[in-house]
Amino acid sequence: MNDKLYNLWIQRARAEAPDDFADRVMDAVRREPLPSQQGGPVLLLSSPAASVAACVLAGLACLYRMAAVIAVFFAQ
Amino acid sequence: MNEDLDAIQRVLADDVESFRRLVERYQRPLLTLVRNLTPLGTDHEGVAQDVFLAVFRCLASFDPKQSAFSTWLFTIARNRCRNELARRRPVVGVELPDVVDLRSPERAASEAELFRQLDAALDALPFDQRSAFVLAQLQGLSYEEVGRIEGVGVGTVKSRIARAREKLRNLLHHVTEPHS
Repeated sequence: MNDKLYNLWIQRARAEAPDDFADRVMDAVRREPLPSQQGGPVLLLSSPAASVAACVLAGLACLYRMAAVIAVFFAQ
Repeated sequence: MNEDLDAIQRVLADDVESFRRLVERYQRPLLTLVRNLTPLGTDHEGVAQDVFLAVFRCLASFDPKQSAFSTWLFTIARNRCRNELARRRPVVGVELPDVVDLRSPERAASEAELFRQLDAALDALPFDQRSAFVLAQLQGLSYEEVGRIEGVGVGTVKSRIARAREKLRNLLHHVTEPHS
């Protein structure tokens, strides 16, 4: 087993960041909407309570729609 | 880390320039992770930039009670790399060499060739083994941190790393040690 070569390879596998990498990322970040303009929906979706509420609403809407379809037969 | 949380709070208060602190702190580990978790020839700087953008977009959903920022960042990066791998990887077997002779006059060239083959061997590992190996061996994360990122227990992490190391080191078994 050649530990020296193995360690050399491990060192080589560690990447250096180009000098302008952070600048390029920040240029792209500045083109994004401000966090205050995009945080609301993300927070809402990430909240378990909001997810449960959304599922319950979707379920109720589905039941309502099914009831409306079934009601067609009973109405006649 | 408190510095991370401070930067995050500033960014969320629309001080976008504070995001640079996070980028500068994590660009090197993130580039290392992406470079070693995506197929050879991938634009790893582009992928790393996409990861930072994804982090910026959903920064409000980061919960410091659940994990450290670095764990959250590396989890996003790992998932992004997995998607990249699934999208791009042509499944091909890597042929490992029988012998790499480092005693030849072109020793440096032989080493470069060996490193290329180790890169290819890493590229050929199953994603879970590769990811655990890179996070632990190249990023220097603890088994517990790797487990949190991968969503598995420490025992599974150890086993994945051991299998990856065994495959990579097997390649080196075939290397003839140069006379120095």
